[in-house]
Amino acid sequence: MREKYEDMNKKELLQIAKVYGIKGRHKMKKEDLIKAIKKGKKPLKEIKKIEENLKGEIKKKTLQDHLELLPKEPGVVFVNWQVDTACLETNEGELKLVGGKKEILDLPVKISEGKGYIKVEEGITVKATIGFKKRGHFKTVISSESIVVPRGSALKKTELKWGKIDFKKRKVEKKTVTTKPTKEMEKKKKKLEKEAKKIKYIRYPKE
Amino acid sequence: MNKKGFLSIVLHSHLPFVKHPEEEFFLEENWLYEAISESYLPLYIAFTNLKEKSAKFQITMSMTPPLVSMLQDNLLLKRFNRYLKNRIELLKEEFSSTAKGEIKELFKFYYDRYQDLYRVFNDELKGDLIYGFGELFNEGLLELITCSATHEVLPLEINDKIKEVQVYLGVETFIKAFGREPRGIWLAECAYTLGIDRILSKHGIKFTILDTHGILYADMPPVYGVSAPIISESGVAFFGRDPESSKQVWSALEGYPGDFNYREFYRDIGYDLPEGLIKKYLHPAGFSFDSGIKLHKITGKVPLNKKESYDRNKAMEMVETHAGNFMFNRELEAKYLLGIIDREPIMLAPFDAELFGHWWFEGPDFLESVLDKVYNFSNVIETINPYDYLVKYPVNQISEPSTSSWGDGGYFKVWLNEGTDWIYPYLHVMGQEMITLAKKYKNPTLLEKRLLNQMSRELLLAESSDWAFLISVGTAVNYATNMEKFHINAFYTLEQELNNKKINLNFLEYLEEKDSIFPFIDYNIFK
Repeated sequence: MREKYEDMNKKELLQIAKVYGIKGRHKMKKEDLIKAIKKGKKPLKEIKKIEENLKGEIKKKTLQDHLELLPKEPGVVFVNWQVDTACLETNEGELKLVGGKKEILDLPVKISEGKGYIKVEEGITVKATIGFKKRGHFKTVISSESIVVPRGSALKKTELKWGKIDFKKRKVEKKTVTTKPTKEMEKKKKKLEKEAKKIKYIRYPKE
Repeated sequence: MNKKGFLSIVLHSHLPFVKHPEEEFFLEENWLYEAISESYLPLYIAFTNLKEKSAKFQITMSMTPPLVSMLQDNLLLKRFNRYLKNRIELLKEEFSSTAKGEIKELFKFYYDRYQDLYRVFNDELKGDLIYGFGELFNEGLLELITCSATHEVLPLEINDKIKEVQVYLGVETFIKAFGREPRGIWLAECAYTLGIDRILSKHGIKFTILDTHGILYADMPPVYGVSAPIISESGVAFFGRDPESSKQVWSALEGYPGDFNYREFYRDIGYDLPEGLIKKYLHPAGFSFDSGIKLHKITGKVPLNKKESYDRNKAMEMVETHAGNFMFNRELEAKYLLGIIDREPIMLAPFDAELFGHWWFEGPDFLESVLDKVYNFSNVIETINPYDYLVKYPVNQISEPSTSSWGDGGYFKVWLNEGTDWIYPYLHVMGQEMITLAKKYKNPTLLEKRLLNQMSRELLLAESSDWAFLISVGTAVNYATNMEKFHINAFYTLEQELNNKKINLNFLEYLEEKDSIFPFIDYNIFK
């Protein structure tokens, strides 16, 4: 992992020696360069101090503008944003959620930052946008990626497709199969669903 | 004779990457030493016992990149040997001095056990568990699979490029450790959402495992329930958890590990020993913590100080009873399922590997007994790995699995909630910055390259699901919070040094030694 000085060539060692400000480095032989670099290293104590600092609060706010939309559970998504509003005309804006082509939410928000958990329809694909109204038109400031809202129940589709994976081509070859859902299996699936929801599995550490 | 069904046991082996060269004794490093001595080595011994008895069996096990990296780390392995030696010395002193009767016998039992573990680890395996499991993999008994790079919950990762890096590094780490491509992957926390299949397919992954509802709620309802895999359009097979098989072992209410004759997890001599012995053998500062030496059985619903002594023989009797019961129930299940579907069903039971041995002390013995019994005595079921089931039944229903995880509640609230949601904006922005830097630095100097590689490691370690999990479940909250912040701050510190062209080589070298996961990493993977 950590590269050994002995394995480095002289050019690489010279780059490191430059970082340490080792004088006369260009005239040194490889062995002397290595000795000088090792001597020039800072004590572990100082590093430990840096490490302790790194475990403290995160000093830096995320500098880039961002808007995240994440799935949490059936019908619930998490939205979080931060925008540098210095060059915007206003900090008063709107958060819109769009599912398909339909607008499903429009909330007044501060454009600069915010977060929240929002209830939406299960199973749809949604996208979040933050912007503001200008002369009656919505002006987009930032948009999220689209996500699928988790669904907490089975679908009632009946279409059946079958296939065989061609692992070399990484494709699915479609096949015709006559198997149909049986009443017994439908009953079994309902039982499985109920059972799976009921079981509390042990996790370590315990959830 | 044709069997009526297949049992597929899948063990997920994972620990977060924890390495602290800055301290000689660091308590959280014990997670690894406990897992090796209580789970991974006993499981290896159980599998090799079966091999020596010529029992043909199939079991699947994931080995995550952080675990693989730690099992190959010289410092951690050296400290693991110290961990074993200290316990051997402590037990020797205990059983040869004050202890009497059954307690003395138990000290002797543990002494022999740790001696044996030390011998297997050092003499048989030469300290290389990866080699040991790899041999079983090559012999076709153990199907090893990989996992995403740092166990990130992929549906909570916004950037597709980062998702891809997670899968790519999972595959690369596996190839470097075991010499060939993995056929399967364990998605961290069995977490899935639309589109992940395309990334898996691109990197040659043939199958993965989801919780029951990931299959049952698929976009085309599965004709076989979870008794057969479904396949996605991009050519990845998805197997679902069979709750019947899982609950007997893992249910908090009715699982076998709760039997009163099994060893009690919470009563540990680490809390009873005099400070002098703790300082001498367990921790120089004299902290009380789990030593792995536990002398009592569950006994019943009684306080810890009322627990009775552990009876190893009685516990092993229960192992046999429970293994027989487990096989019997799977046989009944297979017969029933074969009556309602037109193919031999697969009953897939996924577990955390650390459940066996660390949490449920007798777990590896139970697995050994189940695999032995199924091979020698069952005319109804046999064990199989998911890939071989696909070979046997190559034609499967095409359907897109549902967004899901195997965490509490079945989705993502364990990792995304009021206590942890501060993490994700950082991961998002850091990921974007890493991609930008990878594109920008086309011809870096040697030092810049090393720094960019280390930034990649810090980003990936910050993405680990473990920190959010520990914060949510209230275990090691301070440590998990500190580590999350450490990786984020380390990333930004390095970035600042890069931008200012003022690289602190000493600090970089320290990080390279401490967060030494993926020694082969090249930041260009983020391009």
